Amino acid sequence: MECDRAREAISARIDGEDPGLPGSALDAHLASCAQCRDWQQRAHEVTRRARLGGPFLERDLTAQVLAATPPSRAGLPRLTGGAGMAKRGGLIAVALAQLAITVPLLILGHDHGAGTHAAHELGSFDLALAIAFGVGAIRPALSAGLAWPCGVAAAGLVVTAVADLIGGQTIGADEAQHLIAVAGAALLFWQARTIRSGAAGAAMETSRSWAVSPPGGQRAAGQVAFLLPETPPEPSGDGSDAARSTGPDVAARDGGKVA
Amino acid sequence: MSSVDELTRLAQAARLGDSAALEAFVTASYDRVWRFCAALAGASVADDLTQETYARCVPSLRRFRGDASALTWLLSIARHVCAGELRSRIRTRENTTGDDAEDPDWRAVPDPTDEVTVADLFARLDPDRRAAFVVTQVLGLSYAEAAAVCGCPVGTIRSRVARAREDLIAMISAGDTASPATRQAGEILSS
Repeated sequence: MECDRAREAISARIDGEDPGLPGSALDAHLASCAQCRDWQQRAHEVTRRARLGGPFLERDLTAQVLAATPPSRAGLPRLTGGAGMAKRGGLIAVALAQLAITVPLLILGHDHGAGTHAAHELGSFDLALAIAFGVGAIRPALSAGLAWPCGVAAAGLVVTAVADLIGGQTIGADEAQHLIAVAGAALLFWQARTIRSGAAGAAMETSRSWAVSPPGGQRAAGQVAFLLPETPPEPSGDGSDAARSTGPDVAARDGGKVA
Repeated sequence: MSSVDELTRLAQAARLGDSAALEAFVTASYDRVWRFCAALAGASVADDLTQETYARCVPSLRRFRGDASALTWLLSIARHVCAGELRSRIRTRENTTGDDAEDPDWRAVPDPTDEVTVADLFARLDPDRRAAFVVTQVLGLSYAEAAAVCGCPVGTIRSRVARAREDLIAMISAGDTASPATRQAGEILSS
């Protein structure tokens, strides 16, 4: 047997793992090979030292990790609460209404004064808005991206409608339907804003609860201390005393505020 | 083993948005992730690498299905984080010196106490052997678990661990004739 294979088997046997070859064959090799017997002894010694002398954690930064960890998706606002569902429901209603005014344009091809082709083009534009509102209802996370183009379209519709009303080019009843686009864009902006502030709030709440949630005072003190600026590794002199006394104080104060 | 299962259970609960379970998951695994990073890339950068590991793992918790143990999943992320750190260190060294490629990557982060430790010896191992050795010896995982962490067959782990032992034994033997640092290294393992 080659010594390389034997040593691999010896190594695996030290770890209590499958040596990859019959134990009797390994023992026979060891009986005949003084170098591998020597290697086995050294391997045991190296293993013992390595297991005992490995790097050990000096200070626990768990709290810092938790504070810096981005909130998981599960922690984000689900928008399933009353207000969130109201916005999504509103968007669906707006999307359906927008779709309803699209049909005569896109399929029937007539819009008051406009020609067939112009009506088709307008219909495509209205359909895009309807789809955007629908997507905003189904995937609220996309609201921020949808809100801007829809907002610009709605603003354009309103400004031109007002101008044309003043100029007598159109009548109020025809232009009222643009309020649907305005409502949709407003809902998208509102939803995007809610999600943004909700995510920030969730992150803040998460990190704060990490800092003070444990009931044991000692744990809380330790965790808050880690959130303080770096304390000197070897406590000596006034600075570290101050730092040490600050930890529990801060913990107590924060704990009191929460309780 | 039961602690591994417990960690997996915590990971599954954390995945569903249980923040107390997430805290318990980090607390229960932090020490092992830190020691793994310290042994792979050096104690001086282990804090940052551990933090990076959790920063990557928590957002992807929802992709954690629980068919692997949470510990091996977490450690394989840590291994990737450390590998990235070692790669960027090598790049930096190549850019600044150019002819230092033979140096063990450890030298880039000198130990402030100027003392050779067991971790310093790990640093002289080939990175793959180092990972296999550290996972099985320092963290005490089985070869099968180490294979999951390192993304290789069990037989490869067996071979890498044996090679790592071979290299460490050689470091001790070389201690008698080599530089003071190497001699010191030998003393650490043989004294």
